[in-house]
Parts: sequence; structure tokens; C-alpha cells
Amino acid sequence: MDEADMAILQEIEDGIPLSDHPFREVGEKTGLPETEVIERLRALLEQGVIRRFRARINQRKAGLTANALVAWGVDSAKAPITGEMMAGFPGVTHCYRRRPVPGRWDYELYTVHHSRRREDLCSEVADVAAAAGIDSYLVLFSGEEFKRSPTGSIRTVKEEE
Amino acid sequence: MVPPTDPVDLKLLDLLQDEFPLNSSPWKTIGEKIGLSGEEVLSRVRDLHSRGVIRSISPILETGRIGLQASTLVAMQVPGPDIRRVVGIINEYPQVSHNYEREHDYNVWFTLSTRDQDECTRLIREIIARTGIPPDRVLNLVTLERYKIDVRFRFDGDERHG
Repeated sequence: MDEADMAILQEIEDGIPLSDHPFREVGEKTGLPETEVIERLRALLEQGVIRRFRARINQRKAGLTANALVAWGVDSAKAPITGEMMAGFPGVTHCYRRRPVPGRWDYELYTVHHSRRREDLCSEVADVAAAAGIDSYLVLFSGEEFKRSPTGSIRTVKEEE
Repeated sequence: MVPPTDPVDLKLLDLLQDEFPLNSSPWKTIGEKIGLSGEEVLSRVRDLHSRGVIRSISPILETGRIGLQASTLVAMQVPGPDIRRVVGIINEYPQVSHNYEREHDYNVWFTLSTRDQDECTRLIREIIARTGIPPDRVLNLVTLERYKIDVRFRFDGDERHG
């Protein structure tokens, strides 16, 4: 990744312009031809620097108002295989393994679920629990959204340097 | 706020969550898949964006590849009247990407992405010091493994997942 890549990513990290030819406009702002902007973005995608290129949806405004993080109590030895299994559920958008805080917080696996209604979400979580054979878990419904921005901002990385 | 119900909008929301076409006329490419002109697609996207349904169309970066090697989820027990103040402090940090209220004694949950573990620990200490929340009311749940990140909501004809 070079300076020009960084400039492009920084220009579009909050979103491409919603104009007829968004990449032409990005090119005008970064001083690059449109074709080069497109080629560089394709290369970054191929190299895995860009994981995906897509619309970020505000699920609440799209009608998915029940959102929860679920913390799962699982034996450490079984965590990886159980995590992979949970990740396979189509309704699970995130599945992470995290270091527990012994004696205070013993949950090691975490999934995120979204639904129109809480009861639908709970029934999906119950399906995952049954498949995993886990009866110790917490459904942490989200209330207010205090902050939501793309993870890993180029601007942040640059400012820190 | 009325969620979108127009079938064309719902189809469009699904398509926009697939890989976005990296070419000179992306709206036209998307439109061709559902029989709309590029102009029509762009005008619907603008409308969904102005209603806040679409936050943005942007690249999702692989944090490890841009120098962010450590991440964690932090949970805090914050007394109700203190929430605004504490959240204000937490949200100042650009390393904090998500911050949600949750229904639990641990009621404030935020994610932190940093260059390394040391920076992560340092920022959490700093946040604890600045907010005055006692350390025994803070959980630092360090990311060990990621099995899935696929934030995609299906809207077209799938009642259950959206």
C-alpha cells in the first residue's frame, strides 16, 4: 500500500460520493485518473487490504430493531470448534472468541444477532444453544447506539503515526 | 421512521450488500441486474441514504492489514446519570468504532482497535482514569479469534432474517 492507495482509502472511508461516476469524482479529489482509482481499489481488494466493498446498512432504520450480543459459556478446549459451528448459522453476523476475565466473567464465545422482533431473535439463539449443547449464555440486547463507524479507519492510523 | 417496504428498494438493499461494482458506472451495473436504469438506482440509493437506511457505501478494511493488530470489547458498569458524560469521553477516541448501550449491569459496551496490545491496555487505563469508573466495574474482553464477520442483512423475501 502506497501514498496514493492511502489517499484513495481516506477519501472514501466514510463513503463513496453518491454521484453518477463516483470513482471519477474520487480521482478528481485525489489527483488521479478514474481508471487508476478503479485499478488500485481492485488491487487492494485482491490483496485483502479491503475485505469487502459494499453498502453499510443501519439495520434499525431498515426495520431490524431487535439486536443482541450473546455471550456463551463454553469450555476453552471446545471454544474453537463451537465457534466455527456457531459461525455457520446464517443469522449470526459476528462470531468471536474473547479472553474471559476469570472469576468475574467466564464467557468465551460471542455472537451477534439481528431480527425484527425479540422473540424471533431469542428463538434463533435457542437454536444455536441447542446445536452447541450450551445452557449457560447471556442475551445482551442493545439499547441506544452511541457510536458506529467502520472498524479501522485510515485516518486514525495516519493520525497515530 | 418507517422502514423501507418497497420491493425494489429491498432488492436493491440486498444487491448493495454484495460486492459493489468497481467500474466507471457502478449504478448502471447494479441496475442491469434488476431492470433499472443507472439513474433510477442512484436516485433510490440517495433516497435510502438520506433516510439513514444506508449509512455509506465504503470499503471494509482488514484491520490487520492497515496496522491494527489488537482489538478488544470493553464492558463497563456506568450509573444511569453518568452515561452521557462517560460515553462522551469514550467516543472521543477514534480507535473506538462501536459503542452500544446494553441491557445488563454492564450497560456500556465498546470495541477498540489498536496497533498492539500495549496501546490497547494503555487506552483502557486512560479511559478508566478519565471516566472515574472503578476498574472492577470494567471488563476487557480481548479478541482471541474471529470466526465470522459478515454483516449482511437479507431483505428480499426472507422475513426471519430481515
